[in-house]
Amino acid sequence: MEEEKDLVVLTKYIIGEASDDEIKFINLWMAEDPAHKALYIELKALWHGSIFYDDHNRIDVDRAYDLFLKKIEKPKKITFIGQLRRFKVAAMIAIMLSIGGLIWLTVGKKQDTKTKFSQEIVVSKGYQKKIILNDETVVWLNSASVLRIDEGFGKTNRNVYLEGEGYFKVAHDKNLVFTINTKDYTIKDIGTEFNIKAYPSESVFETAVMEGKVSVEGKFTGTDKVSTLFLTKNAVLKIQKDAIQAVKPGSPTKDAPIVVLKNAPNIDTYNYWKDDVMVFDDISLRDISHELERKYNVSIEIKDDSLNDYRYSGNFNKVPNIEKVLEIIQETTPIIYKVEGNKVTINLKAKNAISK
Amino acid sequence: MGIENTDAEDVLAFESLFKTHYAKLCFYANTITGNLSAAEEIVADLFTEIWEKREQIQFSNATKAYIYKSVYNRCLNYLKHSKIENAYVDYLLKNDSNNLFAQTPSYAYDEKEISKEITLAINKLPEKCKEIFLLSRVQNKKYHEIAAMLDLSPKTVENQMAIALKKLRQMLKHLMAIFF
Repeated sequence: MEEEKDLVVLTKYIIGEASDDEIKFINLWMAEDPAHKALYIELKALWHGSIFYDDHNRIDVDRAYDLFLKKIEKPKKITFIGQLRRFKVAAMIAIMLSIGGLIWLTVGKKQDTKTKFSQEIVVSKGYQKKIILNDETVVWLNSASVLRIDEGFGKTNRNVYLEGEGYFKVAHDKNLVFTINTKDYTIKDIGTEFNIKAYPSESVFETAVMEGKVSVEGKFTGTDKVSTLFLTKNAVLKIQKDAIQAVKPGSPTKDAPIVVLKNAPNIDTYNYWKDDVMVFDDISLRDISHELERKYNVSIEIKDDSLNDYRYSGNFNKVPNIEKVLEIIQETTPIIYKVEGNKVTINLKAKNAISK
Repeated sequence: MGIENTDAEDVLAFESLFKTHYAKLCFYANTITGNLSAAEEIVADLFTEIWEKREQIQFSNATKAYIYKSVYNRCLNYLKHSKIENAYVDYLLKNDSNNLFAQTPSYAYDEKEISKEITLAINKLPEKCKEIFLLSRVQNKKYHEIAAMLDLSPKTVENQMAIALKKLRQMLKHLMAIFF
């Protein structure tokens, strides 16, 4: 019978055993009647499904879940996984006075002293540096950063001054409190590991605590009142300096200047920069460009204002040069870029431009 | 970003989501891609992404649809980048928003039941037919190899394979109805 013959050839086609002539035949056969095409789809789906015969291809969910757990426990070994997306409103909640005793405020006076430095370590754009202080504290400094060491460091104090970004593994010394002064805030540590991001020209100040406890002292309310926040392990403090206004305790604001994450889920990503992994967590393209400028020692001009709205979450794992970074960004964002020497310009790609 | 620092509640909710949907998603992804290991990888990757975004995602009734849609898109991506060329891939890629698999399938069955149904149906095939079918499907033997192994004519093998598919379609109509 005609139908049976068709089915034989169709089966061969589905399995991948059809000759070229038979393939041609099937294509015509499917074109002549939609019911033929429908039958093909049904049988093909059935063929795919029939792999689940007996124990041959049993799906072991428990094992899959175990493998999954193992995968997420590993530090992120990544290339690019994020994508740029547009945000209308970034809703963040301010936690100034927190319950649970994890963070509390005390009020004090900020000491104003003229400090003398014995040493100044400068890290230029495009570089990073790891140093060990004379108390055995280890410091990694990111691009475009300066660390100044107090004259009396190791003797009467453990004071340093940071501009830029540093990851600190502070050696324990119960007599001398390790103190990091930045432009707006002072961080005091009690024997721990934490990352501080305090570029004077940036509007964001950020501290992430990996181990132990630190205190951050400064002005948090837009008045001249100086107060102190205490952060413990896995806490992240992020401050939008230019957006600080008087915040009433307990009232969440739409664009809060201060955010404390009590239990940041991936605290280690805050120091990934020292292993050449750039981590972006919901960052605007403009802020990313500042980071790229420092890391690759280029200047970046974003010509189209609308591009500054794009926000991005993702990692760049050991990307060797700025061109590669831009290539990656271009995969998910409509940009056109030009690199001339160490000058980069980024433009918005026109909607009807020919894309690949 | 391991589990130790996450609320126990979050972990339990996620584990429940994973274990409820994983196997069925693999079946779904395998139906589209025709490649079981690719299907498992696609599903595992999706759950990893959900885990990473868990603070932003509200688990709700819409989650199942979201999960299936995500797997669906990844499967299409997989097909796009594979070198497979046939009318099935063509159909999927050309009608990516309104083909039979684009909607979330309404599974009444769980993976064990699916597997059981398929096994039962195949075992119900006439003996020779079943033997030929399994050599092809499970052992990946070519028609001419099967013919040689069982001392049959190639025509017989061809016919029997067609009969197998026809009978299986009949027996598993209710199972495939989740799609059709």
